[in-house]
Amino acid sequence: MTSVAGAVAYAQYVSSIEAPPPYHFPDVIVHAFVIDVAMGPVQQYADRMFNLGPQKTRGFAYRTVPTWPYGLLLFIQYPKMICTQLTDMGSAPGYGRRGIITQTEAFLAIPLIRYGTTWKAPLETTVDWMLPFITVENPMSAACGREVLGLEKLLADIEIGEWKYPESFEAKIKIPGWKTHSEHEVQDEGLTFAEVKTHPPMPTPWPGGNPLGSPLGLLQSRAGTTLVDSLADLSLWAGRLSLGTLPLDMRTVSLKQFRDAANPAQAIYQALVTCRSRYTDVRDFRVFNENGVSVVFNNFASFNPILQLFMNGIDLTIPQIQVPCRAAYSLRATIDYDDLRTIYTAPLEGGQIAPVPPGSDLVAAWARPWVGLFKGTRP
Amino acid sequence: MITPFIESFATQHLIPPWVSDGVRTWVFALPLTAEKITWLLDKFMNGTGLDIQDKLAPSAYVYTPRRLPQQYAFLVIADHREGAISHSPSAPPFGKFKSVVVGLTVPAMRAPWPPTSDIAAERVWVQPFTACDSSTWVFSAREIWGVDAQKMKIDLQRPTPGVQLHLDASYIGIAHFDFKSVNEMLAALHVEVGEVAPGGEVNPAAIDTHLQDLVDELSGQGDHRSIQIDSLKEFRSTADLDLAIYRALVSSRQTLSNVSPIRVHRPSDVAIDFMWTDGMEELLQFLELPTVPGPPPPHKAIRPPPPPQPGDAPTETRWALNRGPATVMHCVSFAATLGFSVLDTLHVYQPFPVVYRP
Repeated sequence: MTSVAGAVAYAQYVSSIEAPPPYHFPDVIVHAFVIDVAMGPVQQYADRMFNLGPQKTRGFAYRTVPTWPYGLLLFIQYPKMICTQLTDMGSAPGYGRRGIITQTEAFLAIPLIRYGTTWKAPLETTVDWMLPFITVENPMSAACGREVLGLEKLLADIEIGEWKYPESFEAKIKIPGWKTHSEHEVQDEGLTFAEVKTHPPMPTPWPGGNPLGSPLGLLQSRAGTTLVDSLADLSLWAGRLSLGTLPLDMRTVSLKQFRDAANPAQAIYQALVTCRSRYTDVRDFRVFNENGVSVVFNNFASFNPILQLFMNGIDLTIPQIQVPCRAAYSLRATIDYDDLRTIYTAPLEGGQIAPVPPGSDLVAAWARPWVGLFKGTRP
Repeated sequence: MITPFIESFATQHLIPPWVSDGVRTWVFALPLTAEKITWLLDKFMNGTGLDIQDKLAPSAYVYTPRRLPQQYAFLVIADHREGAISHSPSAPPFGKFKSVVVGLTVPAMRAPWPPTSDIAAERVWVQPFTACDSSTWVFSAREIWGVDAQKMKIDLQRPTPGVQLHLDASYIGIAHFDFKSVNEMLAALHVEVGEVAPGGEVNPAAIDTHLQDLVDELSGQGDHRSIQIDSLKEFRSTADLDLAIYRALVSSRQTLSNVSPIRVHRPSDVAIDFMWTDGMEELLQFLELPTVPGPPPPHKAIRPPPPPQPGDAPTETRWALNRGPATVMHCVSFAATLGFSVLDTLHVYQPFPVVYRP
């Protein structure tokens, strides 16, 4: 249980729209694309967003995974988002008692290693995934993600369907933005940010190349198919089928921060929040030939800062950027989103800000049961 | 020395101060009781509501209803069709923010607590309901000046013969709270203003002077060029949903200039219907609206099928809902330049609830 001292109550409208975790998502459809990312900008992003303040105070550092210069572009369709928070909040019914919401989301996830920098480093070292961008269709999800989890969610129109070939895939992400830096341009609520297309899944011979030319295509060879067919429980092998690119236990890290109203350049709260997405019951695993995948980002003026987070040398003279895709697959799964933690609260300075002491909840996921065993409580 | 806010693409906010030219504005006066205003102010601005009084120290201010023989809430529609532009040095280096904002605003008085002769009580406005069709505006309002704004689909039709204004607002939500209910695009509000019939102009002398004064405040008439809008800015804890990691009272100023001649509409030409859903019920009860079966004309009691793709956001509006028609006491429309700035964070509730597990 959580213990709280000296806390301030949250005033709740019944219509308040932040539906908080934990969630249970059955029958989720996932399309995943492994794309190239540049480690330099990713490390800069991690330094700016996650390596806050002095390392000695923080007690850890986020670093890129040098052997893994890739990101995972995910399109996820949630037919049912079940909030499992059932207790009422004041006079307002708990979100879990209100019903089921649906949504589609798309985001890029890049793994970072969180190294502990104290004598407890072995317990505190783990892999967290940063999300350089995340777009969602449901306003409730957007507000909750931004305000409770600190995820930089943008409200989007995400179109998912079949491309021109049977069984193929096509997706388009539209978010608010500006094409130029002109002060006269009015924001477009639905400017196309990214488009992804794939041919049908292997072994269908699209786009005409040899499927064995694909690393994932090897799994569709006779030997690979025999191996897969012999498995009683495909879900156990989903991680291996994706050659390790699908984390079945993905922990995200995000910076939860807010502006001061009178001085918007000043932060009134900064904390690092992690949350776990756990994939189970993985099924219907299908592999696409990455040679038939097209991942294109529009480099409009207000999208350029997003692209610079994971690409080098992106200037505004390039209208569109096609990103190499290294692997592509789809699956169905059940996802549980839980274990929300504030791993670090940054001390703040200035103005009316109350002194916020640094704090941490750092123990790596794998070490928590052991720490709990010896400490008597689960951290 | 301050801790800087770390900017990113996701914080391309509409940062105050901002200015919006040619804002078409409609103001509708709805009757309200002092008890309802007291409930609103106590729960959100005074922090003395029944369910939170043991968790929250009082602030340095107390909010009360204004001393009026009749209280009012005002539904305000602002069409920022030309786009608002920020003049903040922290503003993103881009252009304008277009939006339609629909909100309910209530007059109140803010006085220092404990009372002192040094600081006079101020006339302020508090907003229990705000909706907007721009997600950027919604995030800015929620995260900067602290309005509990909702993203809605807002269809504001241009005037047609016989109809000055037709606005429909709907939102993705759940009509009736239950474990197995599924979200839909739900109708929330319908507003229609008919054309003034010949000879049907309103006699200004017939308007209650207190009401006229409040409408003048909201429309920049007489000595009124600006109003103060106070809001409760708060963010939830990740560890305990009943708690806030930050809770503060924020005061902002809205200024009107270049106001076009005010057009007065006959209340009998106006139809306002709030739609009954469990999410909107608190607002309808606040306004003490009756329940009338079915949607307002011209909408039909249609419940669209769910989207064909799993996970797709519903887009077609469900009007198959009961409605709460509002009694309109007065209605004016005008166009103006609207300026918005944050005056100050009046009070930050202490202490910060930094929460750790044992």
